[in-house]
Amino acid sequence: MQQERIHNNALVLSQLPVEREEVLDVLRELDETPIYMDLMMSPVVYSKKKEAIEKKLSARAGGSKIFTDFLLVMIRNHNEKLIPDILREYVKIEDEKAGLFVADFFYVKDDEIESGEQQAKVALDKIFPGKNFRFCVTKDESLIGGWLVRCNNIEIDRSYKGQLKQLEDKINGR
Amino acid sequence: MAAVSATDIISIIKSEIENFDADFEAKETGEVISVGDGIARIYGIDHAEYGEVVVFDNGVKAMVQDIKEHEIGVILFGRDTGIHEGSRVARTGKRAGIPTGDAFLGRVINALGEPIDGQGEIKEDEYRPVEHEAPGIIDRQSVDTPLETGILAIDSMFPIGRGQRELIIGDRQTGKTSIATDTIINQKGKDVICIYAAIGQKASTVARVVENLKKFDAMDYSIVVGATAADPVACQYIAPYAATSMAEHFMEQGKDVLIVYDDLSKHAVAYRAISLLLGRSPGREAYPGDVFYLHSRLLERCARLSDEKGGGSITALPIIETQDGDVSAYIPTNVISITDGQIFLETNLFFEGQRPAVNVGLSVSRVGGAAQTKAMKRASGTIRIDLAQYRELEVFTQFSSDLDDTTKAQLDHGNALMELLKQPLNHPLSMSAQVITLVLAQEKFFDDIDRDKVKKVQMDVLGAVKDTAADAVNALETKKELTDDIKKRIIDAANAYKASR
Repeated sequence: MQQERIHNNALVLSQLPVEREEVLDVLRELDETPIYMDLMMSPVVYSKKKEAIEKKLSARAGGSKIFTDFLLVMIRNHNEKLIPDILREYVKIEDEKAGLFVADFFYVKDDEIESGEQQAKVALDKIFPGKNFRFCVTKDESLIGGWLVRCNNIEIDRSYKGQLKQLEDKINGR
Repeated sequence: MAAVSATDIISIIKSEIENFDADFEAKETGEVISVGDGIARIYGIDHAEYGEVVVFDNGVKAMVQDIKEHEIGVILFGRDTGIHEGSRVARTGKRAGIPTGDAFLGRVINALGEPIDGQGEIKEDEYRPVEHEAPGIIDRQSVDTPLETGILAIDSMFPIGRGQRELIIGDRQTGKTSIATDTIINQKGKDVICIYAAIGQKASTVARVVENLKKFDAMDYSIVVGATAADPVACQYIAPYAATSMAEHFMEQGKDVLIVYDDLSKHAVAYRAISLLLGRSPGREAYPGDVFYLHSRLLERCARLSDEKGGGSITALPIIETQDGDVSAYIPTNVISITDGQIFLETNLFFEGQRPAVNVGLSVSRVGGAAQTKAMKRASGTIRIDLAQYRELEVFTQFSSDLDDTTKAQLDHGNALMELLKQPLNHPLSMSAQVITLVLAQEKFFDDIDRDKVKKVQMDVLGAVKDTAADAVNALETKKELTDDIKKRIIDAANAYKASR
């Protein structure tokens, strides 16, 4: 199963002597070089070619040998498409080890970000006491108003969309 | 019913909005990895329990059926349109359940307890889980009260008691559903609540059953739980359990309930589909390994409770469809071993005109005489033995001119019995009518009557006995005992009728 594969590979990476910063650098390179992923996902590009591209990318990002070898193994195991997800999962695992939880925070109005984050932090503190949170903030106008936060499969929905959905269910007797 | 005005609707909705209190509790969510064929696989919701209900963001509910290390398999209770990879799913923390209550009597509902008869919402008394433990050994008492089907062939030879499980088994179009519906119709005025669970049936068949029950005023004390062939397999899977939960609601109030599962073959097929889609290993005939447990845990919930627990009961009439009369197939043998007897319907008998087409040799009721009134027990006497001897001798009918008088007499008696056991649809016989028929049959009253006139004479003599020995018939109905005096009155009245013909 894909999620399992991503998580297991990220666990392996977290146990290697790899710096968090070099992983973040490679992730940044991947985000800034969309053509890279197109090449990695192309079935007509040979594995050896992909490995060569990966070595160049890693060198450009200043990656260590062991990290570069890890990425090459991913390509040889046909996991090249999952590399960005594996690296993000690694960052999540490292954050959790450091007692830092990553929460996805969705908002609608720009002037409500700060107050929303405060409220979200208070709510998350009750569920994950003693943890620190890092918010990944995303604007989502489909929420209509309010905010929504997700952290470790726990969701707290204080958006207008969520409340309207509850009201709809109540009126329909669901 | 007066039409609801737009103003009323607006004021109701305004009131709902004003009294609305949003729930801001944190909930555990996951996302869909794959969906299709009535199942979905979800990543996240690691703490979901087996049998728990989860809700998709489009409102569709599903039940957790497969828990693996990193994913959950659920069966959908609705359409999968609108659910896609990445759709969010939230736990409800509740087990799959059904609303139950007295207001459900007379209604047609689906496996989720929602009305599908167009007669509006139903106010429930309580919400019960569809899976529930069967009553323990100490909480039960033995079956000793008859549940009369009104069908002479069954009540005389394979009597059913309240709390018994009696299987109705036979090929397609042999009258299985007819026996069940006739039994429901015969419960009028007998303080028995009836539940008909249609599993995987055609919607037209269910509509016909409902129409039939309405025609004989049987819907007043009945509930129809329908999971037709067009409904998701998940609904077909939980329908019999949901119907049993409804029955348990009444049983725990001390009432007697009759529940018909029509049919468990389609239920097993629906469960097989779910199991294969969830990746469980197929066993014999591709059924999963726990297909016996699928039916055993359902049927064990049907019982007669002890007086301390209210004395209520659930009598089950599960139906199984065989292929080509093969009762040794997997599912039929499973259910035969679970139930307390079976009524086997044969295609050959059906097409010979013997309806109900009960095979007397293969049918049995393991409760037997304990579920018969004293009158019926005495009246039914040696009928099974007589029919067994008749079947042995039947092969000689082609040589009738060469038979001795004793053999001819036995054949005539057997022919008369077979004719008497024929019964038209939707015409249940009262206990007294059955007893009178059997008493006269034992006295060989019908043996010298032409075979094609036996039924008419039966009806005529029943009318004559009711007219001339009304007090004896009443005593029979009330005391349920066949005394020598009542028997003599019946025979005298019948002989008087015969003399006057």
